[in-house]
Amino acid sequence: MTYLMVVRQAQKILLLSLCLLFSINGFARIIVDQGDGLTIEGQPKRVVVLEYSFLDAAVLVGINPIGIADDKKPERILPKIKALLSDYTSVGLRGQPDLETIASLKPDLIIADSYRHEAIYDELKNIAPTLLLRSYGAEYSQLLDDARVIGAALGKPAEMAQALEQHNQYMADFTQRMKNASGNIPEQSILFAVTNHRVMTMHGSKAFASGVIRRLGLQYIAPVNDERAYIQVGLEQLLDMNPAWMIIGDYSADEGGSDILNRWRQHPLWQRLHAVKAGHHVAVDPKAWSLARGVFGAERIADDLSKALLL
Amino acid sequence: MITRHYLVSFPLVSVWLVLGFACATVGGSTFDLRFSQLAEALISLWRPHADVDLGSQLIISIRLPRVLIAAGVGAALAMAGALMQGLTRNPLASPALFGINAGAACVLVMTQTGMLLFLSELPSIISTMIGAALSGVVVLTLGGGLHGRLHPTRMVLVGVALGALLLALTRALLILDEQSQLILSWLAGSLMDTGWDHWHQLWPWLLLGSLMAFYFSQKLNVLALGDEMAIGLGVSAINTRLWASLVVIVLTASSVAVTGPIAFVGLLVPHLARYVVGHDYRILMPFCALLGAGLLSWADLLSRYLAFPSETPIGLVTALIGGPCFIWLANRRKEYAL
Amino acid sequence: MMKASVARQNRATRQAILTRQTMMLSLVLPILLCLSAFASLYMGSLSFSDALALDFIISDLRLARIVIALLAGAALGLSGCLIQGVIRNPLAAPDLMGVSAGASVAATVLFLLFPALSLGWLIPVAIFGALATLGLLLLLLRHSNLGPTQLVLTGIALSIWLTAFTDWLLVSHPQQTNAALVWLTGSLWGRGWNQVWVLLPWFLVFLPCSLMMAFKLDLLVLGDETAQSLGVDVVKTRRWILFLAVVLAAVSVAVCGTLSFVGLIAPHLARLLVGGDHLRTLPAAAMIGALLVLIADLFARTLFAPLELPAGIFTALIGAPYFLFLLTRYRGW
Repeated sequence: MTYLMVVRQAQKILLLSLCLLFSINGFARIIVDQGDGLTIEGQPKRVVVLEYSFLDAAVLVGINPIGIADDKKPERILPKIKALLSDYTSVGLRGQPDLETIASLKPDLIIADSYRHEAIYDELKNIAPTLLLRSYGAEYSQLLDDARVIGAALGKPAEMAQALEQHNQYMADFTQRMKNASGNIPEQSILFAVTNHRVMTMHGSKAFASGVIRRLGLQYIAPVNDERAYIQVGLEQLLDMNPAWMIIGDYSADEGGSDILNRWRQHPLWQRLHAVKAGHHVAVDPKAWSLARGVFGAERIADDLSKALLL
Repeated sequence: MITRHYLVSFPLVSVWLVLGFACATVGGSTFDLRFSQLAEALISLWRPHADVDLGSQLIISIRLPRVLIAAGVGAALAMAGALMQGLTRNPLASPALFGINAGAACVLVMTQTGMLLFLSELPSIISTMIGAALSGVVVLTLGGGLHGRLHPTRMVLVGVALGALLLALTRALLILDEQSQLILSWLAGSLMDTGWDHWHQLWPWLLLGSLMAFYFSQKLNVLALGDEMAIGLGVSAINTRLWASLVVIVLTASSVAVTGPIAFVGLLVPHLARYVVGHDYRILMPFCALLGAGLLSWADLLSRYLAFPSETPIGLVTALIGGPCFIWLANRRKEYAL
Repeated sequence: MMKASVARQNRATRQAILTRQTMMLSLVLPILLCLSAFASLYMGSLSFSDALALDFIISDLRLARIVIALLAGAALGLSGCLIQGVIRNPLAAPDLMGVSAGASVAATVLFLLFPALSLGWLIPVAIFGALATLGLLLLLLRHSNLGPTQLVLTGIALSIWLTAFTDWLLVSHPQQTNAALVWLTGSLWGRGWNQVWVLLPWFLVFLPCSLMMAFKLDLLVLGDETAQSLGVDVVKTRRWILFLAVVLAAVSVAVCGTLSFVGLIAPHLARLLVGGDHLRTLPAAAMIGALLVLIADLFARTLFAPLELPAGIFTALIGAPYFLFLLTRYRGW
């Protein structure tokens, strides 16, 4: 354990004890996150989110972020979320958000990803209190936990708890419908992959979409002994897993479809895939399934699945 | 004595190549592929019948083209390296070190990202050929070609600097086109998702290139005696150089168009080959082709196993193997003699 | 009479050259540095007036980046100048000798295998990697007389191999690559005062050390025997200077990644502008290195804002052509 880690631990303990002190007064609250933890007073009004999943959580409790790292592509935001969203400023790419633009928005809370933004954590903290949470490669259950943290940070823990309860109900209803449907759907394996022109990347057993699918009482198929969230696959690996349902999100759908997918469709072995033979080959919006990691995203996945699986 | 030497080395390398080829077609799969399935696959290729099991079909339609491409590209790059070394009488000459690979890749990325629109309608091999030719001309010019004295080390340094320049440019283009995830995999050279269509694109050029390479090997032998001697023996040094350079460009460009730049095959293989069969290019050229093909087949197998079940780009595998070899070559105490 | 007037004239020309060089060193270069520093402070994705409204942007983001660019660039320039001086090789440079690649490999290993270790460890680890690479290089070259081109060739070979190793590490650890990629592409994105405080102590220790070496370097240039007779322990001095140079290069790699060609061309430009006297060349090379990195970073930030390119791409785009030009001028083949 390095010196810095000891300091961080000490800071956390100090913050926690402060938390106890303050919670009696009801003024400020302590939030424990993936970083150093932080104290927040009141309700943050000017929030900047650096991942779509944090946007999801913020909108869920009625907060409209003033800055979003949307990769300069507003169409990547889920339509349902966009409908609830008024004006915002783009702060650039999620991988390299523009610190100057973030600072110019004068936020009072920044929500950042522990994977992508750890390198600029200190700079972000200089701009505003920063909540460091998991998003890239995070699991569904972790995202729900983190949504609770976001709810607490935004000063709306009750609203968040209620929204999550509703979400849970939504998912439970869906699970029940799947169980009751004919065709023994919960027994069939499902696989989700995204593609652009050059690569096909499947979502592993730790990825968000697979967690949602399992939450819905369905089977998700992924390579064994592979802990990665996103796995580049070839036709050979697809044939090896041979799922009953294949759900593919094509990022290049507007440009005549992914080259790789078009080539595979011509391939003699493509027909050997169970999913292709049975016509269980579903095209979905990759932005919704892969980027919108959150409650809205999970419900969108459930909706898409019910359209596809329940005829 | 010498003939007996060939009688041993050629069959040995052929066996090594066939072994590597066979292992690469069945190895490193999440499927349990077996050699019997490879045999069945080859039989069914020759005499098609309906009830071929999945494993054999997989070998035919996914594995076979991929390993064929690996072997073909290996042969092409090895012959290109041998030709370049003969042409420039420079033991370090090779497509990667002279920036030819980088030039081909840079122009290819430029066309694909829409910078050179007039090229994007043409097959990708045209753009890679233009890139390879341009960087070849730059290396020859700055390497001292204008003064008629090509200096070995100078050419390498020019090639490396040019390669660094072009690589920086290619990286910038890929980042601006939001394809930065491709930088690591494709720019290192990768066989992921290559199929029969790529093979059909590759083999005519490969055939043309190798035939011409074999044709020029006699002239390279004469050229090795020195330009005056060559002219005395009725071989035009300039014409030979020009045509052989064209062959280098065809071989390099066609392989870069399919797999991206793969380093060190063109450098390593001719030296190994020379060590085994000597300096006669008529023998050396086919031996290089065999050795290069074998090397890349084995490298393909290795690329599947290094980080199983995910794949390592094959260019990284060859760089990891070839790096120490280059260090040794660069550091030989004996002054360059070719 | 004739002779005396020619001598006087020669002295006058030499005096003029010396004055010009002193002007360069004490006026032109600092002014250029200040100008480009102000330009970097002034330009960014926000207009200056907007940025001024938030003192944070100027004082934290832009200023910290400028300071890092200055320190890293100066370290690279110094490193190159020391190496070229001690090996007496115009083509030697930290990146062409594989030293930068060695530092990157060590830093990448640290990132991927021990992600929890703090920033402070990065520099010692990078220095270790760089020194190990230098050791390997010298071991490989132990029988040769460090001829200019052979050193560079072997260095390039090492560098290519080590780079392939770094790439392989990154490819085989996709989950952790983001941090390593951000650090090692030769970029100044996301660098702040934290990095300045990590960088500064090393810099403060090693900058005076290397300037102190200027006198000894000048003696070394006179030839080993002359230097020896003037009381310089040649072998020991060489070793120290190389050590200093490698540490300086590794420190800059640890903070900014590989900014290629800066260490090569800064000393050349310095000699061109202020002459070969190391008391002048060393500070001039430091300033030119700083200037190069500053300008490269300015381009990287503003050319496609708010999208950012790694500054290392721009140093390569400036540096590689200059290297090619040097090669066409080099006569020692």
